[in-house]
Amino acid sequence: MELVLDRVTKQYKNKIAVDRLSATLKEGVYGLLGANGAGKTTLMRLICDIAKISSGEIRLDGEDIGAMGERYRDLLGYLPQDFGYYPNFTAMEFMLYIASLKGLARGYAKERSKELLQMVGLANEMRHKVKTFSGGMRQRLGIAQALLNDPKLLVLDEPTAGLDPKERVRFRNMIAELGKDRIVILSTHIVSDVEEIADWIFLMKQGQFIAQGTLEALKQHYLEVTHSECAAPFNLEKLYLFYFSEGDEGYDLV
Amino acid sequence: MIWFEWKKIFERRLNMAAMLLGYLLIGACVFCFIAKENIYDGFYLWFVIVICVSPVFSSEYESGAAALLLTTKHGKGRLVWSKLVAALLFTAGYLAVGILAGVGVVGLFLGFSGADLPVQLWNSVIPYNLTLGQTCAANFAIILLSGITLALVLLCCSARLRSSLATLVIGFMVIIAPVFFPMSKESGLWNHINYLFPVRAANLKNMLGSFVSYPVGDFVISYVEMLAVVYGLIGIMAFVLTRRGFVKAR
Repeated sequence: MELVLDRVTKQYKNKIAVDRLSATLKEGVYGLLGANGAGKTTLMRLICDIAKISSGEIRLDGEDIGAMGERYRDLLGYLPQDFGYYPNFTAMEFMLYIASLKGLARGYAKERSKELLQMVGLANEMRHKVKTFSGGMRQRLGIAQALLNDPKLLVLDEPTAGLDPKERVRFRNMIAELGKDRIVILSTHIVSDVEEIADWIFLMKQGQFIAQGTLEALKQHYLEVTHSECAAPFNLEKLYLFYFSEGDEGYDLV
Repeated sequence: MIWFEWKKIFERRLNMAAMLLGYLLIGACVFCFIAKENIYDGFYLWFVIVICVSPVFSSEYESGAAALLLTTKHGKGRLVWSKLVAALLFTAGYLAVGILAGVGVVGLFLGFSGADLPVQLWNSVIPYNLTLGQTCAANFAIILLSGITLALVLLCCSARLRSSLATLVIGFMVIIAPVFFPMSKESGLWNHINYLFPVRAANLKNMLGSFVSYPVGDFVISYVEMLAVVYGLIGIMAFVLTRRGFVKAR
């Protein structure tokens, strides 16, 4: 499976939210790192075909995602940044509703919902109304619904928002496992989320990729641009702070 | 999927309060008026339809759920149909139950004798060969048709404007504003348009006695036929525009 972003641009009146982005994504976990307003959520929405591209194309296995329509959405799992829910639905009802929208048969949907709620630690809450959930519990419910249709393309926008450290570790393990045979795109401004599990990292600023590569390649790049010695311990946060404090040149790394 | 859409309509406290209030109002009318007036009072229930139907699409955008729904397999197709069907079934059911219950209760106490008498007993100038029962049935059908058309227009506004409040205001204006539209002494066209507003159509007894008809070339279309045509066309247009409004990316 191959997702290609071909000079994708999104412009709102005078503002360019996504600026001629190009990338080729195959199976694995892709981290999208950037400050607030960098264009991460806009890019996610373009990939999920809920925002209209101003120019460029997004193709899945050579086919435009807009033209694919239902076939594309059948392969897609999405967790939005501001996850809207129905307060008076129980967790199970919510899962069954989303399952029906994803075209799952009722019997299978029930079993799959139970399995996913178990996986995210909400098995005991499945008959409770969502309005009684904490923020972290709702986020876990959001993650569970994104996995209902066993998507081949999983798009997660700020998925660890509201999760405590233990939940965050559990989530990272889950994503690392999922990324083995599907494309997972993970957008966040929490550096440690991406550092631990991403196979490829994009740094995004003002609608553009200012750096991208594996963690090791980014480390080498950081050492080069900062003229640092290898002895200094590197973490992705240093690179993040380097780019989002000053400088906006882009580098493409292997 | 329709069941879940119904659940969303019935779980809103405002909707439940409005539904109860609507039926209480009809109940009050039952004890204040005789049966033939209860049909006309059915138009009060339109306000409940406005309150309950306005957020069907717009609430998804207001809550942020739309981003999730539109990425599902059926989010841009079957979901829209389900919402439309659920809202229209609710509208038809609520109106039908409300009006029939009101009429039925009065009929239970006073009986339905006289339904086969000519409508000219109400108003001797009515030029149609109808019975009282037929006129009541036609009035009921017009209130139902008007309510369904109103619901379709509201659903279209809800999908396109993405604001429950704006849709609510439009709905109330559609019902209330024509009450204040004066009849013109010069413009027959304005009067013919005025007669088609729902609040006037709901009072069929008065409209039948007003000799309203619509000459089109060599043909003359009766008032009831024109209502059916106009409301049908508006309903179809609203139906078609609703889907585009909901799924169109902003």
